[in-house]
Amino acid sequence: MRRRWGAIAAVVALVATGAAVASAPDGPATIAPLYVDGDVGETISSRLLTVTVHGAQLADELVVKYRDDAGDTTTDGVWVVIDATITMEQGYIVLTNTELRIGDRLFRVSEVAPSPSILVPEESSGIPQRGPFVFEVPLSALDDPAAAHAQVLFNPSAETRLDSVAAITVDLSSLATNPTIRIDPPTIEDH
Amino acid sequence: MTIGETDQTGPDAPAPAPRKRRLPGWAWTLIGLAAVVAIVAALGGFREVPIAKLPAIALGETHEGDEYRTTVDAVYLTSQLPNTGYAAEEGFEYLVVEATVENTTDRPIFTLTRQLIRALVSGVVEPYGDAAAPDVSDPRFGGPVGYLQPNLPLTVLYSWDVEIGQIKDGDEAIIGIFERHYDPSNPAFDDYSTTDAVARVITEVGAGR
Repeated sequence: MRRRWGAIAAVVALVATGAAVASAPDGPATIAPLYVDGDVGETISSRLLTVTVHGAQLADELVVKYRDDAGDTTTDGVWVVIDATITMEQGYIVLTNTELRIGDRLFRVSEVAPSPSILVPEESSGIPQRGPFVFEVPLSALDDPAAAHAQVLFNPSAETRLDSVAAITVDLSSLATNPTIRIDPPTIEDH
Repeated sequence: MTIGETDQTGPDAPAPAPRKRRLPGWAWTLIGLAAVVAIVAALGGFREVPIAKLPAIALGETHEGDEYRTTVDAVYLTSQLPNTGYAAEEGFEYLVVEATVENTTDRPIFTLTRQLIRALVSGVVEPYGDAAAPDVSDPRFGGPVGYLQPNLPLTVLYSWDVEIGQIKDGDEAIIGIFERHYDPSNPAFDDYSTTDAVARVITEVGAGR
């Protein structure tokens, strides 16, 4: 009888070990960023950044009035403009590594908006600043079913391994495309 | 001499056996080399190796690469790049290769680390060397092209400073299209390897304008 229980315990231990090994993250997953998920209107904090996304818009062309050397801001695709407030929590960071994920595709934030830009904040840490994050994407990206739950990844640097990153979900599938959107320089947010 | 031994030094002694001649070392070396050559020849090592010709495409024709879809649209000289606000320095002008490139991967690609287009024109603009590194700009707003977004074709200008008169309209221009290719066996470049040109466009300066 005792021998039978021993055999059962051995089998259970073997199965449990197999399940643990099978469900353990693989190499890249063990060093992946730690995404802190949120939705539009929600304030999300990562290690270096607090972010609130107020909304998303689409446009064929950007209108930049604060600089007369902005050039031609049309696109063969579509501009995705994310209105967000950011607050740097520790020291200074630039946000040129921000990405938009639609399904399997990743898009890098465009530096089309001339300086001053929210991508290179002018204010110090602790001061909330609001401005547009602009992405240039092909029209086909909006036809992707994943556009309904696209994510803006506010990477605080190019190196995000095992760092926390605010990931805000936005629905791009139901937005109408505006002929133009006006882009303004970032502003300081009052609490 | 002890008892039982015969005297072999006398006049009736047998002549000494001729000493065997050994091959000198250099002969063995030659034989070894000949054997190696014979084995290489037997395995086909000296057969003429067909060298794959670099595919030549026409101006305006699209090259489908591993990561890029590339079309060279025009090659021309100009004194000012569109929207940059800067004219060429006195005594210089720009040689411009205008191309439409599309990143066919699902990740943004930083263009400055990819010398996608190089030009060889009249021996002036060489495909290698720091001095020949081109500027890559977006003609819409004149700024540098940072990242190529996935599946979004973009017209880009590759430009080199050249002295006025060094290159003339009608000069032959060889435009090389380069890109890295997937090579999982090469650990030196993560999961990619660098590559030589993958296609060439032979045209003339002033074409496509």
